[in-house]
Amino acid sequence: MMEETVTIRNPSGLHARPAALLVQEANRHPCEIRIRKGDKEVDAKSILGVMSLAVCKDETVTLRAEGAGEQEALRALLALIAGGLGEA
Amino acid sequence: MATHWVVVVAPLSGRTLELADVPDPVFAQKMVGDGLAVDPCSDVLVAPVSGALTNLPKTGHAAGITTDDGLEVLVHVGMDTVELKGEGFTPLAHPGDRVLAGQPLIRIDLERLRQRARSLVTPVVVTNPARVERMEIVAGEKVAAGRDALFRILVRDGAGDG
Repeated sequence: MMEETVTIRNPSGLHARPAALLVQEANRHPCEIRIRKGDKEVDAKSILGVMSLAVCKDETVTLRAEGAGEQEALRALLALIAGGLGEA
Repeated sequence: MATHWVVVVAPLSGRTLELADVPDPVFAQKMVGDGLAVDPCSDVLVAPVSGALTNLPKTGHAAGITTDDGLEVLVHVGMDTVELKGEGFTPLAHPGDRVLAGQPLIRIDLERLRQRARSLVTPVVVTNPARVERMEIVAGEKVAAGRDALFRILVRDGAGDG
């Protein structure tokens, strides 16, 4: 199991478009991936789940991957978030 | 294995468009999900399916419902409307509510949004394609909110789906 905490810099947070890109990348990996904000954790492979976290700009989330390719999955997701999730 | 159809009704009245004609690449390329869009002319957004209101952001520009079968349906009012920070949208329900298809969810100030939003085209999409066995568009050129079906989904059994 691997975990990383990251700050979301998108001006409108994790709304539909960035959430879709994040989930699309999560779905490329076979391992289980969860995303947590505060005490709420959801499946990072569900767009509605990710949107329901209502992550705003400058809030932090924790990504947790477990299973085959977990390291690769986390690395890919962190790179995508660092790149602005299509909004850079 | 139990398979059955879920009917997704129009959340707003208006003219229908294929997703490919939505003026945003993420929706047009079906990256959010497959479905149909409505160019709205009514001002109360209703639930397209019955289920749990998983998502209704404070900005009021979108609504997501998870049906009892685990199908996730997202309605996104207009393009880049998240940037309006709630202007023109009045939520009429709360995240976590159980809602019935046709129930009012968001009041929309159409005139204000026509001036402020880049587009009012509203995609209605299923965001978890793993659950979709088959999708059939049933809507004609125009639909009435809460009355006319947009499309129907043959739901795939969810065993093993997280």
